[in-house]
Amino acid sequence: MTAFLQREILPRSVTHKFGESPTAERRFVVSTDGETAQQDVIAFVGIYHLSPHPEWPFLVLLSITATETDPYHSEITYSYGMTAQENEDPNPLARPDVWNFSAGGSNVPAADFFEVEPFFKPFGWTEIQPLVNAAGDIFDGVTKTEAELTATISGNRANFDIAIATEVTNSINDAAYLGGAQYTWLCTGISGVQATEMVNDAELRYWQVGVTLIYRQSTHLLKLADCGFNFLEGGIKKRCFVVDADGTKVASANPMPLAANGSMLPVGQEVRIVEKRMHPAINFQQYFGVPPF
Amino acid sequence: MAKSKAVSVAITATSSGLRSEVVRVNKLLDMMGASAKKAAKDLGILKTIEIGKIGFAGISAGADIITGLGTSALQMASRVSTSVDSLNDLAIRTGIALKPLQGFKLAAKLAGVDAEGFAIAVTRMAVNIGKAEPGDAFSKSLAAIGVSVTDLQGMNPEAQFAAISKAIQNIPTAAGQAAASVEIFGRAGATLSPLFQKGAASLDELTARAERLGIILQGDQVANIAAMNDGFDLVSATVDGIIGQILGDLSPVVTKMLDDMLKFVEAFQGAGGATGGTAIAQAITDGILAGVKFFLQGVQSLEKAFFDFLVGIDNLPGISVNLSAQQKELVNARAEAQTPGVKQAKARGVDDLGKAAASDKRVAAAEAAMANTGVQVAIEFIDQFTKGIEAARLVPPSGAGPGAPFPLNFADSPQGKAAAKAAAESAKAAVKASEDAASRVAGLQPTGEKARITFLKDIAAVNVTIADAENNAAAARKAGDADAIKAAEDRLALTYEQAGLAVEIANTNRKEKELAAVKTRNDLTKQADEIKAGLQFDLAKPSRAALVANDVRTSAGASQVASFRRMEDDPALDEARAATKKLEEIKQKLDALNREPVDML
Repeated sequence: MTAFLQREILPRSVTHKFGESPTAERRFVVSTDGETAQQDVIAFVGIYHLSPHPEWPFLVLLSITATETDPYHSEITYSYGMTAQENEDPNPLARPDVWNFSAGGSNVPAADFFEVEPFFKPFGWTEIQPLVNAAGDIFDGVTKTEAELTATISGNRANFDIAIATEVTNSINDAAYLGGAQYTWLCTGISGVQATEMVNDAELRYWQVGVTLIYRQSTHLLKLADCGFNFLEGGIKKRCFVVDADGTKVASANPMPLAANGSMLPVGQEVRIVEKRMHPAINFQQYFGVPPF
Repeated sequence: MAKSKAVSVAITATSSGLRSEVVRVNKLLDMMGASAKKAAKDLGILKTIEIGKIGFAGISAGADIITGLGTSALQMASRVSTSVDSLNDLAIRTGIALKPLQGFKLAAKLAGVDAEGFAIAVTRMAVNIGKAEPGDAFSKSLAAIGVSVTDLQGMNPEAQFAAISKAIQNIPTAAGQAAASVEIFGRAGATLSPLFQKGAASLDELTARAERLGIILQGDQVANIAAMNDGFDLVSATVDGIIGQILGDLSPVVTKMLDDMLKFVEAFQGAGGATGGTAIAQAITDGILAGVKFFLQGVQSLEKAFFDFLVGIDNLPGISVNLSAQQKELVNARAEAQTPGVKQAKARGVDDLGKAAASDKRVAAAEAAMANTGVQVAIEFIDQFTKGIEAARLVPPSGAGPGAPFPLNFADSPQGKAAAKAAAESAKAAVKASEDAASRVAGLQPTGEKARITFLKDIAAVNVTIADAENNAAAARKAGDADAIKAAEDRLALTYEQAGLAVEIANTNRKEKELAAVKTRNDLTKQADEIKAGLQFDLAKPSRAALVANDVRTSAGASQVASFRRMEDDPALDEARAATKKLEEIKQKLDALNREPVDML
């Protein structure tokens, strides 16, 4: 059996809400001489996925629904809409990656603050100072919000390379990336989900891969107060001590601040904060590319 | 004495040891029957303490003996010094020189005028003369008896008194003398009438005789006695203060004593059926009478023996005795009474030639010429007696050597033996009282570790007790009474035993204390070493403690940074300071242990 007549039927509909992408719908009736295959009926009309709407070409066909109303007639509904990407490729593997960004963060202790000296204010200079009151006493227990930026990259890959996934997970950027300084981006993981899609009557199997990156302004390095129970003197490790008013040396009960050379930091000097990188550093741009914008 | 020196070794003991020993001593004394005289002992405690504390323990034995004879040299000296002191005061009040004043006072006393009345009269005379002016009533009164105020005002007080006395004496009637005396001397003048009846010549004669008899004291002697009295007053005040403190400490004991004494008095039964205080009064009266009798007998015996002694000396060729005429006459009379003829006549009761009667008459006359000879002999006896006591303390107990204590045979006489026995009993009671006092003082001490000074007092009390016992034994030996010697030596032996046991216990306690001190010292030293080692150990090598660190962007990490910025003291400092403090405490304890005295007596 074959189709021999097709006709668009009214009414056509278009929906366009403010702030949203418009959608449109068209319906066709195809006459056949008997029971005919659905694929033959759709092919008889000849409108396929991503075909532009005759009136709004930025609307492309996204959905086709064929319904056989009797042995001699079938009704086909075509739904039009906008794709997420411009010039969407019907081949999923040829489609570009999709980048999403979300915000998050947490409260962290606040030990320093930006103090701008009046002289330098016009120049926008800042100077970080310990957070103290007017009498110079340290505020303890103060917290501040440290916001984080989470970037999610979604893309289709023909295969999921598990080796690369394990390599980049928990790594940080070894160079500036996505506007962030070195060590500010951390890859928290790569996900992969198998997907199947039929394109122009052809079946395609591929992997939908997702990558999550977290940005931290203060870097993902570990920041520690350089202190310890022992210190170096002449290359020899010795026990840290505190000195009483009468000059008596007493082994310290708490770790003592240390200088860069391992000696005991003189009393009154600001404790040194050392940064230790705890994650492997990789070239993020090599692995994750850059957003299309 | 060797045993007593044994007490003077290093003694360290706790009060408990000494106190228990004293308790044991008291039990022994009870066994000896001393408890029967508990009331007398209690009364004697304070006296013994007083004497012992001021260092008159040596005098006490002699004083007890003399007390047994019925008199006291100390009391006599006290009476004389008091009299001289009042004489000095009177001289100051009247302005009369000491020498004539003593004559006046003696004359007044012989005339029956009391010293105070004499002083008032003379003072009034001096005042009236000083205020008198020619023509006033007083001047007229003097003029009436032929004395010029102007003349009197130019004389010294004694001359004034002599002149007025002479003038009054010249008044023919007693009533006139009394009236003139009242006008010149005031109301007290009436009491002087008997004095004026003998006149100024009698006054001069009496003063001269008193001077010859040695009654008149020179000005410097009076001043010395006055100064001595001042010293005695200070000493007395000091002793009173000491005794007051002792009494304050012993007041509970004294109260107990008084209760015991009252009970004793209530329970006392006399020989004649009397009870209580009446019976005691009778017993005391009997004792005093017996003492006086002993004294008189002693004086009589001494007098006789003394003159026998003088006679013997006078008979020795080349030895002369510087005696007055009256004394020589008495000696000669006594010598005559000792001649064989007189003795035989007296022995036979036949005095054909009247030699015995003549001799007795001569002796009686010589004795009458020297009315005060007996007193002087007694005084000399006391001197001899005192020297004898001192000599006896230097000779062996046998008393048989050339330094035999008594130059007279008093100790062999029944009176002497009785006196010695009484003295021995008295000394024994004193020793017992001293020991009881020491034990009660020790019993008052707090339990536990005794203060060093208190312990030394106890040991000193033991030594005083021993000294008393030794003195008592020496006195008993000197007296020669076998029973007294045995009792004293028993007492002394018991005292030595007590002291020896006390020393033994003291040394045992001292050793225990030293061992305890050594253990304590070792423990403290060990603690100190451990603390020091602990302080040094941590510094000796690097720490292997886990180093806990947190990112400074966490609460823990931020707190750590904040603590560094605050420059907080490390807790180890507090621990080290506590350890140092503990070390210092240990050091102080060790120092205290090292300062623990080793009492050397």
